[in-house]
Amino acid sequence: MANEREMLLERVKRAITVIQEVHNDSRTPLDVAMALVDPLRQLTDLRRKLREAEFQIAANNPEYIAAAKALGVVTDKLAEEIAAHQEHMKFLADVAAAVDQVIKLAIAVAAVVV
Amino acid sequence: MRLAPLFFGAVILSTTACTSIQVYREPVTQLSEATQKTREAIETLSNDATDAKIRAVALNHAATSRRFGENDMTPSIAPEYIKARVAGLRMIERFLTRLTEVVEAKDDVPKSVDALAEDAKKLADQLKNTKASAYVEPVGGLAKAVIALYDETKRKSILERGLRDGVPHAKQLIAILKKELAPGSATDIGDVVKVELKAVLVERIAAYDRILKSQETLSAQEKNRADLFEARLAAIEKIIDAKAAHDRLSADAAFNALQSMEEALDALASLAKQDNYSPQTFAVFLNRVSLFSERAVTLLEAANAIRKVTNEAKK
Repeated sequence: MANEREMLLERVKRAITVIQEVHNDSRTPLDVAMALVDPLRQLTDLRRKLREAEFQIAANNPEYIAAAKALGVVTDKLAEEIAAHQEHMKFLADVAAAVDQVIKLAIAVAAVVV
Repeated sequence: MRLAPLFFGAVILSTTACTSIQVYREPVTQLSEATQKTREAIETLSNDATDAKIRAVALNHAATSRRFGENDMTPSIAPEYIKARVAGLRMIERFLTRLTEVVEAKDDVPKSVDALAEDAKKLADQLKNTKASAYVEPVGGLAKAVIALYDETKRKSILERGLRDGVPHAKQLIAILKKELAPGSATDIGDVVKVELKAVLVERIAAYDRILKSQETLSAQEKNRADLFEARLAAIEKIIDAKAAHDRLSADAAFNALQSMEEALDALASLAKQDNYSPQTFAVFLNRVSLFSERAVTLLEAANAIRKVTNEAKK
């Protein structure tokens, strides 16, 4: 079915292309060019309708929706990991600074006592 | 004393780890920006297609003295389709933004750990061969425990895991989009825009032809009247504008942008795999990001230029 629609669309496309080429060529006699306008409009309308149907079908592609959702889950997990990592790093920086203060004090005391 | 090599090691390690992950900052940001431009371009092109269609239908109805109503202004591309595709691309953008955040995550710990290591070593040297040397071990042990908590490769592993888990889904989205936007596909947005712009061109030519037809019975002298000449010239200028808008977009621009987005993501994923980093593989990644950026800019510029033409045509 999808194949039939695609084939029809392709045929309409080819017909439009050929007629447009003749119509848009300034060497084509004026009356001939004017006579081609209506069939061109009808074919263009048909092409629009066929394409609109294709877009409607594609809009609900479950694979696309599932992939977007799955990527969303990974992205949210990444955000959580970044937040957790930064929290851990902040805690660690505080601990390192505190221990460093103790060592600095020990150095000062050692300078006097030892 | 025994701790000294560990301290030096910690200093070196923390510096190295910092540098290696930072190299991703600019290209990943660039990748995210190019994805945003591609999304904007696809969204703009979808709207351009509808604008051009409405223009073509309006010209057609005006030429054939037919009624023109709301039903003649239905979008060329289903809004649900645009919404879903834009949402998918936004998701890739969000994913890349998170990766940038992993790379950029502020990390002051190396400085604190380095200071701690240096001071612990200083104390160990000071107490060496003294009565208080027994204190070196517990103080050093405390410093060691803190240093052990610091995993300088943590951000890199978050990045690697993120890429490992996320890139396949991003690639799946791109693969579907590529299939839909491939030249010849029924849902090729670029082609829809071009077809509608061509329909506008046909209508412009038809409008000029009608002017010629209406002047056919006039004498050569009458045809040369300034107002008639101006009317013919104005109609021709509209044909030229419509042709320029049609030619502005290359048929495969959107497909090419998606193709290079996929290649850049591939290169990033392969690069971030453990032990796969080398100046050569990194250069490949940079080149792909750069190509993707160029294509995204070209696509967005074309979409905006068409938008400008369709907006001007409304005036």
